[in-house]
Amino acid sequence: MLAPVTHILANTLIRRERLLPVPGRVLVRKGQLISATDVVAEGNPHPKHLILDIVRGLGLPIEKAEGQIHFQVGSKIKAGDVLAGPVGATRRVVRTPINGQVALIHDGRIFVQIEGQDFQLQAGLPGEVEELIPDRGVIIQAIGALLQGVWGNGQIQTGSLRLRISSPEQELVAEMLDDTVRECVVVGGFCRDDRVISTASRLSVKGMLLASISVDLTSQTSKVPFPLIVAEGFGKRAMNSVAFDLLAKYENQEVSLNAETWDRYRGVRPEMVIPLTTATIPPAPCETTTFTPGQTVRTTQTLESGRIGSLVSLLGFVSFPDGQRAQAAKIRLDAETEIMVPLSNLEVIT
Amino acid sequence: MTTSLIDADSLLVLDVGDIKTRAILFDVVEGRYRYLASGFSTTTAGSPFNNVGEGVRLAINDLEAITGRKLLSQDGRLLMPTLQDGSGVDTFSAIISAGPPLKIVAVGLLDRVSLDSARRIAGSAYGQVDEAIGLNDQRKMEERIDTILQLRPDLIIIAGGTEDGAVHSVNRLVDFVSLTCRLLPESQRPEVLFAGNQALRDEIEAKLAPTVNLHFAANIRPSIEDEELDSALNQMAHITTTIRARQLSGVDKLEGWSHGGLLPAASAFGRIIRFLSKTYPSKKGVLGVELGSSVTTIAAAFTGWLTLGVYPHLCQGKNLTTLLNPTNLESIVRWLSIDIPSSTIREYMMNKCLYPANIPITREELAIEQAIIRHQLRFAIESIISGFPRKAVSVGKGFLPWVEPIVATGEILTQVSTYAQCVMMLLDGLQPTGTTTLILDQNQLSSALGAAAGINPALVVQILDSNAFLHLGTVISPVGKARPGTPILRLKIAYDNGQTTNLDVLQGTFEVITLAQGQSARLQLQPLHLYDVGMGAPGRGGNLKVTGGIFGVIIDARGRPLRLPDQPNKRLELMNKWLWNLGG
Repeated sequence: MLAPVTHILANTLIRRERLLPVPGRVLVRKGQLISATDVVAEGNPHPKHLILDIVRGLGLPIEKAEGQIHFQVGSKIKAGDVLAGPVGATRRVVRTPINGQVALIHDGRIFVQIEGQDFQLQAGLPGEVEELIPDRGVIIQAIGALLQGVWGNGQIQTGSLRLRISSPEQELVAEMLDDTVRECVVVGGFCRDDRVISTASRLSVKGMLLASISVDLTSQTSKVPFPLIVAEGFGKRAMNSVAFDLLAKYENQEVSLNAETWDRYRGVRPEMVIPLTTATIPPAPCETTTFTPGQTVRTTQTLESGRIGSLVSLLGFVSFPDGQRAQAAKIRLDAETEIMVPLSNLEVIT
Repeated sequence: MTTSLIDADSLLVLDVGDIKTRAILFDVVEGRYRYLASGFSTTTAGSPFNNVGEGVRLAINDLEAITGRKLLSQDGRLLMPTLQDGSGVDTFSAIISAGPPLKIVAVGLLDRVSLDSARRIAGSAYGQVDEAIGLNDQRKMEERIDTILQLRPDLIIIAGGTEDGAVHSVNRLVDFVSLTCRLLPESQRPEVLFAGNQALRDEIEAKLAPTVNLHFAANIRPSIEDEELDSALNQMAHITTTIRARQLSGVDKLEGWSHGGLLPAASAFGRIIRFLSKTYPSKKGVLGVELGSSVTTIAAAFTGWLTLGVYPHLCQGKNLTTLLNPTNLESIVRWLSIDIPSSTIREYMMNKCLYPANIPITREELAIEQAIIRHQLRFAIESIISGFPRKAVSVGKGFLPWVEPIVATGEILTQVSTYAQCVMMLLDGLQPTGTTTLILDQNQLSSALGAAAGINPALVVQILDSNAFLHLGTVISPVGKARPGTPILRLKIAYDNGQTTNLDVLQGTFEVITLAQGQSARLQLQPLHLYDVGMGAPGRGGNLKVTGGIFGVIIDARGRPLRLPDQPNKRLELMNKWLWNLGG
């Protein structure tokens, strides 16, 4: 059975495709070194239009009115430009009141796409532009540690990592945040205290990576001006030990957070990248695998903390206490504890 | 296509779901078509594969391992037709429900007429109407255009104009759609379905065909009073697969294998329910319920007239958070069989969105999941009832019409621990009225058979007659008004062995009369206090022949609509008692 994969890797080669939702302009060149917050492309997914009625403006029938238009589709126009005319004794003209671009001319009307604020696509991770995708975006390559989360609030930022918990189970409370985390990326455990979020905002933190958050905080965390990534899920959940050990190694190191929403169709998920300089290029992570004994796996139980263990054996169909029958695996959590988990509730950590 | 069993064709159906891909094999055994086995794989439509083909291959490989029959060649081609050594299959069909929800814009003349019908057509697809624009839309043209441009829809449905009716107004709407589409980049232009006044076809073709992929269907509102959705439903199926082929790699290969016969799973499900409504001896409708991980589908057919509702937001997966508002939560809490705080339910729902394939394995998880299912079924039924045709007779507004049977299927239902839990969810969620039969499609074959119907009807008939479908029981749900404890139905059961039993059914009770599989009995029903059991009129009784199922005869006299006590303790006690009456 194919296994879902989550990456928690100390050193790997990361390739990420960054695409605009609509055709636009790519702003970087191949081979360029970029940071996570650099804008790599821009476009306008929310265009606004203005319709200028040339027929009415000039008082002419459609064919004649269209003959008076001075611009073609695609032309840039500036506020005050005469788009059509002059005609007649009064030298009637039609001017554009705004800057924009002629998008369409139809039935004696000009459809002007109003010049507006373009959507700016950030790189999301620090690295090198490996490939340009014309009009759409780029492929970026980076080397570093990679930690993937399960939920993000959509923001991107970089900063110096500050681990604020001493064990994976420890809860993050507002008192743990002080001036030492100002403009840094805070790493914490479970968080249920809305004061944590408000204090972090007050300290202008550059981002947060939390093991888990209370469901009550989702609305508040969606609105903060910094990226927030949840690594494990909702409700009280400890940070998994593999992630905690990795993060503990990189205290004070510059990291980037891309808190994109997890979307399996687009192949994006929230992640932290810790850029590293290495003499050799490490292997790219394994994106596909099947469940196999010996793998490190994490349980993804809906109402319990995810637990890290080693897959001992595949068991075929097994009955669980609530009566459900499902394909399962035996997982060793530690020297003395083995549990049975449906394969549907497992993911491979690699 | 004739299918004498002398030259019978084996059939492989691929079902590409949002989470799982299944390969389902049918063949002839001892002179009759049988369901042989299913192979599974994770669906690979999303990252990192981004191609449904890998999941298809793995599901077929799994099926090969189960059956010992080789179905794919070394280079991954489907072996078709069957070879002399028995490998391969004769025919192939495919259905799909994978893919992101379709973004749909409905455009019509009048909100309560053509736009309503357009919404119903949109509701048969795996998507939702994100924007509806009518003739009386007060927004400026620029605003309407920009709204659509920002939405970047996959499909625009244009309806309006009765036959020999409005021309000018429809033309204005079509001009608006044409202009809007011309402002979209070519690669992002939607499919457009025109299902309005047919007199305009040529004009519309001239206006829209140069810009978009244009599809025509018969007028969905040929007159103000009449609604004709069949042709549009068929076109929607075609358009949906066209969009999926563009969105998801590997879908075109399935189209090729099935010679263009790929169907959306919901359309195939609707097809089999319609088929049943034409063949079932009852004059009532047939109701189908499919509860998948990513979508709930309700299909109801009344003597061939199909109403199809696809609800991507009613699922156990990634769209579950759409239920996270206080009203929905309160409703879900009321369906819990054990005491669980609403904060835990929210936590469950948020985490289930992250891991939609997760299955519940603790008592709490199972209770939450089943409470959500009850709420979703209720919501889906209440939503679809308004679209039922006039020939769907019910005891009153808002009640489920008389249906016989109810066919239930889908990963969520077939995975539940006990049949009793399955029955309770169906009864609580659907709240059938009168007399009906509950059938569980435990192997999730319904949609596959819907796809097969187009190429091998004999196979469909024989599989429906086989034991692949499980008869859960006959349900009697009298409807009327009386105080709890009042006798509302007098029942006499005459068993095959000559034994008889008499029973007075009291309002508010829930009882089961055991009737083993294969046994049959004759029921004599005499409703009291003008209760209605669906035998022609309130208070009218009659005879009913029933056959045994898992639960025999279930008498659900809890009332319609079912009202649960407000006190949590009493509610939990009752819910567990009802489940206990079914055997837990």
